Amino acid sequence: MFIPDNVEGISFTNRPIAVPYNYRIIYRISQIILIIYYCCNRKACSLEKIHITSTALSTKDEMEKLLQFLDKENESYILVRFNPAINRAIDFALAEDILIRQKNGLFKLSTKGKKYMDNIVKDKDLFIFEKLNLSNIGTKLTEDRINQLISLWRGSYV
Amino acid sequence: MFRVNRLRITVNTAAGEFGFDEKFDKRINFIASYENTKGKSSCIEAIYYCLGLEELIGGKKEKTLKPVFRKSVEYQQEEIAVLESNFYLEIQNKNLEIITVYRTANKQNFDSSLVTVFFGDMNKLDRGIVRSEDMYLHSKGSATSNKGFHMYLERFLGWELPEVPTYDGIDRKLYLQIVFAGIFIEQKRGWADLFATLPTYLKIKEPQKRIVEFIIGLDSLTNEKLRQDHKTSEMELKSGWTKSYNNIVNTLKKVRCKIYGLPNSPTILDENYHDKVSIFRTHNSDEEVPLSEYILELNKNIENINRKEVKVGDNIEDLQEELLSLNEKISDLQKEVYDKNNELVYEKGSVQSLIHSLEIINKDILNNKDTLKLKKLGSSEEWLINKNLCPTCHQKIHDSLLPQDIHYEFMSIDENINHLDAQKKMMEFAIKSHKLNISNIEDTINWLEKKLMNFRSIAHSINNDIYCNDENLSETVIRKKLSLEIEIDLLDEIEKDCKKDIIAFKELSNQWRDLIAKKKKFPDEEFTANDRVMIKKLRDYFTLNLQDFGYSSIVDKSTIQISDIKLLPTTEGFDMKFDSSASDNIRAIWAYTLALMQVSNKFSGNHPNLLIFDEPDQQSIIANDMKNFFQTIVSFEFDCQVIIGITMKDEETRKIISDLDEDDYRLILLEDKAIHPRKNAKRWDVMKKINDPNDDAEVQGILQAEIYENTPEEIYRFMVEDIVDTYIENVTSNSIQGTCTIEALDEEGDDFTFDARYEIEFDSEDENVITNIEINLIFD
Repeated sequence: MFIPDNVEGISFTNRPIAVPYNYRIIYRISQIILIIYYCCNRKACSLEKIHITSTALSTKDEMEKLLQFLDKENESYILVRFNPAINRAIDFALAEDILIRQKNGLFKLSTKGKKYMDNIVKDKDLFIFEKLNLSNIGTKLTEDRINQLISLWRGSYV
Repeated sequence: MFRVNRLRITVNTAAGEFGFDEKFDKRINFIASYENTKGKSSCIEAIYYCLGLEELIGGKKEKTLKPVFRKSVEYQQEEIAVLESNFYLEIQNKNLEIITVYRTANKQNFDSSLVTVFFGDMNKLDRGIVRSEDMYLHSKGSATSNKGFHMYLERFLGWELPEVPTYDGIDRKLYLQIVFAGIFIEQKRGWADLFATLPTYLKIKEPQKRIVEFIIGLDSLTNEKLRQDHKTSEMELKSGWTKSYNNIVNTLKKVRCKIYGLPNSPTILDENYHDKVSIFRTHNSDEEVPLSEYILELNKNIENINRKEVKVGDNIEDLQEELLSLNEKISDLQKEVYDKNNELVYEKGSVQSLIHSLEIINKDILNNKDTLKLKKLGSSEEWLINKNLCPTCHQKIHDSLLPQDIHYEFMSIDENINHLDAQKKMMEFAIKSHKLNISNIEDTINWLEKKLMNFRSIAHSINNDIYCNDENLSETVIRKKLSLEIEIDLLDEIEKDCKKDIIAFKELSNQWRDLIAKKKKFPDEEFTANDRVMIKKLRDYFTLNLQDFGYSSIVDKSTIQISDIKLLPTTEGFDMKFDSSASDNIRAIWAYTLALMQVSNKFSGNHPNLLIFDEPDQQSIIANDMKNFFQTIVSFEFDCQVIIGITMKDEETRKIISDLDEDDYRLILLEDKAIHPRKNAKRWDVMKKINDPNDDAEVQGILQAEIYENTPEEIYRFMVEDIVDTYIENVTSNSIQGTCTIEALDEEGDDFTFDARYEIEFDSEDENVITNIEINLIFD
């Protein structure tokens, strides 16, 4: 690198970097809780479902793709993205005792989680768009449908 | 004067209702106990809490309260879980208006920053016949907005709190919680120093001084306010000036003119300043000529044209040459317009993409704010991940879902929001400047196109001229002349308008001169002569009190002064605290707090004439000094109220209190815990039947009442008052009176009858509204 002679030295200040809101722990956890509330009849939910729904919430395009997939019974393929940030959020939620992992591998809300869920659902100013979109998806994305999708991967990639 | 009439606390526990309910109706009101930890401070803190002043205890909302209101009540060696607590405080102002303030702690579905004000006393409140209004605390605007409780309290106290400078450079209202730091002396920190409980996060400069100024009503505060007024009018003048200036500049820009010699910010202009102001027109590309000269030149051109032969045949050669050069100019202009249009497209594109980015940022800000709210939701506040701790290993983590082993520093959500806000501002600024560019380019294009049109029509005229009969009149000459005349007219008008505007600056300049003169006249001295008298009086009262209370650390009291800089007592230029023993420090706090009230009353200042001392017997003060302290309070000639929390450990203290005149004090002795089961609450059947011959009414049925603080007679009165106005119908006049007979039951359940004479007045406009009701009970 060229440094002019009259420059004695260069110093750098380490400044904190910005974190996008959807990479905040509490935001993601709240999102996952909403997914369980709106799309799973408040019952347990698989990891794949959380990933698929959370991806759909990220942009308008993704949401449309998912809705299309759900509307057509026979059109049976969408790309599933696995976001490590979601896995980390789930880890934190498990450790904080908000989510519970059942024996069959599905996740459900603890009492603590449910209490928190009530708070977010009740607040009309929070997650306005997310709530609308999630209620559009509703319970249409069933675990059966996801298993069917996963079984396709075997055929396509092995 | 401000008064605390009554305090009622009800604590709902798993084992029934606990509570405290006492009146404070004398000059000195002791909340006393023989031992410690009986709940004196809990009661006093409840007063703070009801007034929304819990920041003086050190914090906000219910967490500042004692555990007895939040967690558990100890009763007969048992811990009983607290479900919720309710606080009622009846207060009265100098106009004898009475209100009851209600606030909760730990109550489900009730935000503890909400305060309900009932416009009536507690007896009325018990019967539910008072209007109420919800107000809030501790949020932005609670001191300045109409729905804010402190704004209400300020008006109730008859105060008008001044705006004072802060370290942020903005002026803020002197908050109530700051003023009360000089009025309520809290037990734990209050005795450390004068105004020790001042909340500091409010960033007000020299808060102690402001308190003293406000309480005793010094002129220096009014001066401060005048200074503020000057500042505002200065701002107004500045913006007015800039606006007029920009107006002229923009008008001139449209005809490619500039103005010189007119200052763009307020200045005092001399008499003939307008001669020095000149308007220049940009000629060709960057040559500038005075507008008047330019107009002259245009006139000369017209003369030239006039001199020319107007017949085509006479200047056919000239015409041909001119056509050639004109065509050249036209193609140059076309190219320029084309370039400018390209620029315009680029600028518009930039604006669009910036607007898109701005939308994204706005969404980000919104989501970040949501995240912040999620963090603060009651049910998530205690989560470890919200304290940036790992829930498994309790190590520090950073608040991000990126891998935790990245060793960057991450912004907190607040910082993130600020960061985004800054970006948003930058975007908005960029959009604004691009938009300015667009309007500039559009102006230029407009101007170029006008010019182009003019050239084209001249070219057209030349063409016509060349191909027509030689004897014809030249169209070109006439057109040129016409267009020149139009331009001259336009410029003349604009020049005239501008001159008028420039002369209008004289008025602004005069206002500016007056303002500067006013500012010059402003006293350099901070305190007026009047202020000096008050400060001297403060010193006198203070030293007198010190003497009475047995202050002995400084023998020569004449060295004690009130410092101009802080308005606090100093000795030989140093803070008096340094020269005082621990117990003398307590005496100084007594003396100064009382002196403030004394001076305020002497000069009709703003002191509410209410003082609260929690445990003034700190540092084993000698009993005799304590006695003098009480005697001083009793001896005040003005009306005032003092609430004192005190532990009567020894016989001496008890004697001091019992030696006081009975009319002067009320002793609320807590033999048990202050918060005790409400044993005296008792339900009993009160009334069986009410006969009113006046209205042929007969109300039957048993009415129940709960006796708590009231005498049975009061209960009967409330009952009658409640019932009478329910059965009275068809009211034709503004008032009605009558007598009814009541079959009642006494506390033992025995029957008896009594008469009640009533007189009810109705609102003249709405007969459903009762304005006054008077009941007289007649017992045999």
